[in-house]
Amino acid sequence: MFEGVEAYRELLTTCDFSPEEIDNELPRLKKAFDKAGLTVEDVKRCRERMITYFEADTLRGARMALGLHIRAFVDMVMAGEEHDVRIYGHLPLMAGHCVLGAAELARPDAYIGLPDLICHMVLGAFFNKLDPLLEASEAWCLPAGLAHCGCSQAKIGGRLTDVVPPATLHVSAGNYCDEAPKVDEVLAYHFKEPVVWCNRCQDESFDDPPMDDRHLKYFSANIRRTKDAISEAVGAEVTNQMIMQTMMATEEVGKEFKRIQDYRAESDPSPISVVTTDMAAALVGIDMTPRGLSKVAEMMKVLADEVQDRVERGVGVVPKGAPRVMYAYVLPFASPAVGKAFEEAGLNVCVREGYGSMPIWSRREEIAKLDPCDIVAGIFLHNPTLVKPRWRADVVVLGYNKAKLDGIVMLPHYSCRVFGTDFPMMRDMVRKELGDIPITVLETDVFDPRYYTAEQARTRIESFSEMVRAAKASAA
Amino acid sequence: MVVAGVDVGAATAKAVILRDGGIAGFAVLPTGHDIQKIARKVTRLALAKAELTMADLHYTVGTGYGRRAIPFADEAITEITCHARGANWVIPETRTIIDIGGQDSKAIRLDARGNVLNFVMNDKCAAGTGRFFEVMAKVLQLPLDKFASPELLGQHPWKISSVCTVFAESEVVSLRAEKKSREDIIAGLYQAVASRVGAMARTIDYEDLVVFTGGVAKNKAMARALEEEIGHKIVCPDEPQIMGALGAALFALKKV
Repeated sequence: MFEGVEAYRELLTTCDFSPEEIDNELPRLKKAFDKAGLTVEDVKRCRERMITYFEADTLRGARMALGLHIRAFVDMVMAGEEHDVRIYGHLPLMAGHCVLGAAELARPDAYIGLPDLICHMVLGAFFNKLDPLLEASEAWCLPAGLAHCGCSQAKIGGRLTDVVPPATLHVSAGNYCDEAPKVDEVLAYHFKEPVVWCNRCQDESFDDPPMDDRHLKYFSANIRRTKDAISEAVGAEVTNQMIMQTMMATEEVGKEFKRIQDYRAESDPSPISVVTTDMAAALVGIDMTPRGLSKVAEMMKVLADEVQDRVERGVGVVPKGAPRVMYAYVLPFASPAVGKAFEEAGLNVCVREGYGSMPIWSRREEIAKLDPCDIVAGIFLHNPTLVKPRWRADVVVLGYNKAKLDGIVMLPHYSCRVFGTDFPMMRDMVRKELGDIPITVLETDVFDPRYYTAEQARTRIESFSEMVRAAKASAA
Repeated sequence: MVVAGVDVGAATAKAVILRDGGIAGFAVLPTGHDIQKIARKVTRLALAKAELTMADLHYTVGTGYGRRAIPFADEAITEITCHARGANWVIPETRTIIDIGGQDSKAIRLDARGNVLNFVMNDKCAAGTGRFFEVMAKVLQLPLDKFASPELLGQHPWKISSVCTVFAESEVVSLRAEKKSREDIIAGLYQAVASRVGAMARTIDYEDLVVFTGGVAKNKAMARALEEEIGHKIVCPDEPQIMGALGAALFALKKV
C-alpha cells in the first residue's frame, strides 16, 4: 500500500464506498489523484470540506452523491487508459445532453463525460484546487483578466495538464453562449481533436413565442447533425429510441429531485442545505448516460427520503421562521462557502429560479408524437432560464408567489455574457410585477473562485438578510 | 442609559456614545492592524469625552468590517443597515445615501423610518473608494488633506480611467511626465471617482434627499463632483464619518 492510505480510505468511507469497493477502487483512485496532483493532505482537507459544506456527516444521500462525483472524476482521469473512445460535452450542454448520454447505449465501452463540470465539482468544490487548471489555460490561450469563462478555462487547463485525456469527439454547446464553441475551436486547433458544434440561432427578441418554428427547425437539425457526428465517433448508430431511453432515465432522476425541491419550498425549517442540494443536482449534468442516471436516481431517492424524514421530525439547517428567499439561477459550483454564507446569515435559500414553472413533461402526449431531436430542441427552447430574460422574469415571479417568499437573490456571473447581462433587465421586470420587494444582486462567478470569496460577500449577504427581516417585520 | 456604537472600518475606527438618547461623545482613530485593541481604544476615547468609562455601557453594537471582532460588542449589525439608521436620525428626509469609505463605496436607498430598501456596494475594487485618493495623493506627492483642498482643483479636468486604480495611477504618472497641470489632473481624478460611484448608485434608482457619508464626504471637492455627476443636490452631515457608528448606537439604544 502507499503512504497516507488511511486518509484515502476515510475519504471513500465518507463517500459511501463499501469496504469491498474501497479495496477495489483504491489503486485507480490513487493513480487518478496523483495525476491530478492531489496529495494526502489534500485528501484530508477534502474530507473536512465534505462534512463542513455538504452534510456528509448526517445524510447518506449526500455521501452517495459525493461518491458519485468522486467516481466520475476518477473515471474521467483514467479514461485515457481505460477507454478507446471518449466523447466530451461542454457546459452548458443542455440540449445535447440526452443525445450525448445515449451514445453509451450505442457503444457501452465508450467514455462519455463533461470534464469541465467534473473538474469544477471535484477539484473546485471538494478539493479547492481548481486554480492550477485555470492558470494553465491562462498561461496558454485564455489570458487572465479578460473575463474568459472559468468553465472553458477548466476544460482547456484539464487538457493541458493531462487531467483530462484526449477526446475522440468534443460536443460543443453553440446553443447557449459564444465562449464554449470558441474554446472548442482552440481545442480542435491545438490538440487536433474533432468538434461538432450544436448550434441554435440566437436572434430572438424577448417576447418571441416559445416554439417559433424557424428556431425549432434550425436547432433540431443541429441536434440531428450532432447525433450523426456522435454515431460516427462511436462507430455505431445512436438511435431515436436510445435518446428516448436516456430522456426517460433523466425523468426518473427529476421525479426524486422534485420531491426534494418541494420539501425545501414548503417546509419550515428548511430540511436540507442549498449547498448539498445543488451538489447532488449537478450529477444530472455529470452522469448523463442511462447507466449513470440510474445511480443518480437511486442516490436522489435516498436523499429525498432522508429529507422527508427531516421534515417529519422538524429538523432544519436554518432556524424555523428564517426569511425565505429564491436564488436565480446558480450558486458558485467551485466555492460552496458562498451558498453556506447565506444560511449562516440566517436566510432560508429554499427555492431556485424555475420553481413552480410547468415542466415540459406535463405535455407528454403532445410531444410523444415528435422526433426525439425535436423534443430535445423543444425542451431547451421552453426553458426560460436558458433562453430569455423575459421568461426568466415571469418564472421568477411565479416561483416567488407560489412559494410565498420574502426576497430574491440574483447572482450574475463575472465572465459570463449570458448570465452577466440578463440581471438588470430581469430585476426591472420583476420589480414591475412584484413592487419594491427585497432583491439583491450579488456579483459572483459560478466557475472561477478567484474572482470572489464568501468573506468578501459576507457584508452584502448579511445586509440583505437584515433588509429582508426589516421588510418582513414592517409587513407584519 | 448609556450605549455605544462602534464601527471598525478598513481605514478608521469610529465610536459614538449615546446617553439618554443624545450624542454624548464620539471619536475617530486609524484602524491599524489590531481590531480588538483599536475598538477598545476608540470607545474609551469617545466615552472619555462624555466623562464616562466602559463600566457605564449598557449595550454595544458593533459594525463595519471588524464588527465580529469587537470583543465587548453585544451584537453585530452590518454597516449598510447602520448607515441607513444613522443618516435617517441626523437627516430624516434622507432617502439615498452615498457612502465612500476607505476601502469600499456603497449606495443605499431607505424609507422614511431608516429601513434599507435597496443597496449596492463596491467592495471588490479600489476604484471609487478612499483608497483611490490615497494612491493618487502619493503619486502626486501631496498630503491627503492638501489633495482635498478646493484651491488645488483645476478648471480643465483630464479624463482619467474610472475602472481601475492601477490603470489610473499609470495614467497620472504619464500625465505628470507630460508636465500636465497638477490641478487639472486632480480635477480629473475627482471626476473619475464621481463617475464610478455615480454609475453604481444609478442601479438603485436613487431618490432625493441624497446624503453623502463616509470619510471621503469630508472632501468638499468630491461632494461637488458627485453632485455634478448625478445631477442631484447632495447634503453632507456635519460628521459624515460617524454615521455607521451612530446607527449602531441607535440600534443599541433600542435594546435597552
